[in-house]
Amino acid sequence: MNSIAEPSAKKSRSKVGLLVLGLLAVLLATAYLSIRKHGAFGQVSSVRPRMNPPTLDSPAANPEPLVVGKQQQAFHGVNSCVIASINGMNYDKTVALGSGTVIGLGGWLLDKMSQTVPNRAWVVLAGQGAAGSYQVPITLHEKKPDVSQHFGGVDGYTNSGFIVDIASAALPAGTYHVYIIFDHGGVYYTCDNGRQLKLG
Amino acid sequence: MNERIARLRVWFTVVNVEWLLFGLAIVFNLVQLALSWNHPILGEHAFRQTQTAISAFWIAKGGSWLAYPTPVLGAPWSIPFEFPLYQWLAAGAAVLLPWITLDQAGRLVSELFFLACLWPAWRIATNYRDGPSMFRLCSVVVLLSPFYVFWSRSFMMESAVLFFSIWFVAALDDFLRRPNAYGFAEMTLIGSLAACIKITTFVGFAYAGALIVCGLLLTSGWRSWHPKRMLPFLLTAVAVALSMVALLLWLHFGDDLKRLNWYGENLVSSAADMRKWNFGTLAQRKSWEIWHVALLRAPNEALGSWIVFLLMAFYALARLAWLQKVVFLALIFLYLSVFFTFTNVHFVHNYYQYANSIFLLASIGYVLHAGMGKDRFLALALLGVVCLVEFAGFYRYFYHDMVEPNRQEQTLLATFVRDNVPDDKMLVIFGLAWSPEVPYYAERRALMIPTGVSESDLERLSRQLDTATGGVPIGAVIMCPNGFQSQPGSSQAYRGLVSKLVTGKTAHTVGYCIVST
Repeated sequence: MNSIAEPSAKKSRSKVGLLVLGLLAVLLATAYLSIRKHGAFGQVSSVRPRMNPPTLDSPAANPEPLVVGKQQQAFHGVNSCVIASINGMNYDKTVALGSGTVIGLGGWLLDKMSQTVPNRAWVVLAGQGAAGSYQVPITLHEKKPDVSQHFGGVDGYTNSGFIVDIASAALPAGTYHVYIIFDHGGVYYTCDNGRQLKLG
Repeated sequence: MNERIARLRVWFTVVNVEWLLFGLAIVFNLVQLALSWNHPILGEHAFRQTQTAISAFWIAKGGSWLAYPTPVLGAPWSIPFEFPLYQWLAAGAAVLLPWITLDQAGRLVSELFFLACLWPAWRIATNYRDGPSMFRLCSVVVLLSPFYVFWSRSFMMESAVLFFSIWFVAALDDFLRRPNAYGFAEMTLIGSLAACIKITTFVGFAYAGALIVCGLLLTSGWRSWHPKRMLPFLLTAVAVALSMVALLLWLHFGDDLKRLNWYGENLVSSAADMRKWNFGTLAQRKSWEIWHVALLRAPNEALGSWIVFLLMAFYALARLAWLQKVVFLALIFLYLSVFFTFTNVHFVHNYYQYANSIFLLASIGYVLHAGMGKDRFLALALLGVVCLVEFAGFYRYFYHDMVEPNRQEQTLLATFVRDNVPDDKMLVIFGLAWSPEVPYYAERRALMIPTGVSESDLERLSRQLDTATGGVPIGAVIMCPNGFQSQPGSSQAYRGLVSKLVTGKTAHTVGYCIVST
């Protein structure tokens, strides 16, 4: 350790310290009195900016008839996504929702081939029988550090989460198979966790 | 031309280079603060940031200053953990500077405390030989640390308690060199404040104080052992004891308030879960994971790469004099000792290393300083490398989190509540633990019911709903995916409680959650 310095001109340091503490107390007293002046539950002006999430400012997306990844197109299944949540529940079983209910889905999706998240992806509701099949675009914005960590800490996977609200009023009642399709270099890939949805 | 080069050469002394880097490092911190200025506090560890912020918000709205509100677990709304000096200042700044938002006020206060740490650090450094140079080098390493740059611009009390903790060490060091009543008062008051604000941070500095006491006793020889000369050391022990008394009184006060809350028994300082949460287990202390955290994760975030630490340690052990090695190892000891005191929190939450990474960084600064006296150019080159790796580390570990959006579900829910729920009504929330992001940005009080609450607690809550809400009308019930739905023991009680809460309300899908208003 360096040797102890001569304590010259350091006599008043503690006094300065107490002075700083006193100034802090005065500052706090001013803040206290100022808050009390407003009265309980008074105005704190512009506490924070209004927050409109960039991709979620519309109430719900309308599904369109399925165009991407149709049966006749070449596409390959991969296992790189989870549709984890639906309308306040964990999506780990067949879920039944009333007709017209907005379908809220949350989950994550990776493109393991490019070690990133897809730029173009859709949730597909493939109806059984005459119900028809529908698609809704999803945007991957939500941070999922746990997912990224699970897949080897790949930085490109960080924003792999999605949230989408789907208006179901136009969808016929029936059972739907819910899965994801994404585009990688013009080829469509399917990610299917076997989710089922009963509507109506 | 030659004259100009000659002038430049004269100017580029080591001292001026150190001051230049010091200034640039401060500017770098302010730039990162500016880049974060308009962002919500929903980045890394948003739970902790909004927990601090929601208290500041309700203090600014006229809530109690000592029994300060953290209205996320129902009435009576107050569950104090830390002494709320930082929250007071953030609330005060938001009120006194009405053109900034509370988020900005919190960030500003935190950053100012971080920069203010330089003052007590200067006090400590200048008690030693070549102190100014040591101060400049250590400061540059700390100021450019990715970890400190990032967390200092967050809405956290960490920099405030770091400031008071370093101040405590400065006051102790000064007091032992020139004992006087002012010094004793300063040391006692600052120690008490630091301990009450956050003991997990203060503890490392209490150890540092103990090392200084040992160092002074050893270096001043047998004369120190004379009873008269022992008095300052005894008074230092009294100051630390008084700080601990202040902490115990604060904990007692906080625990009494917590017990009034339905969930409070789980949060009192003596609760088994809380002890385990703070101190961790013996198995954790014996595991390799703790070394992974201490020697890889934390150095990566603090320095940009653990390799820098390894290189500097090799340099220190190979090139420094034995006394300098002792100082280096003492700083590493302080860094490690905190991991082994509050083990679990350091495992789980990286921001806890705000308390002790400063010792690691100071050890690097100290090695650079010691190196300047031996291999000036090598030390300058190493300083350059350290700074560059720190810049790269900031970009790698923190930059993206700082500038990109996060937690859209919570943002969406908060916006929905602000638009659709009157501000005199409260929220009941399932599936978001008791993280205050939604109640804070919704500006509403909440009763958040974390997954893991037992069936009997859910039934009790259902019976005593009026007590848990404090009579405040429920404006919205938010249901996000949660473990109650599939938990065999509690799914029945959960369904009963939810049914009671949502009767007569209309359900809306918001993101993947359901909000009943």
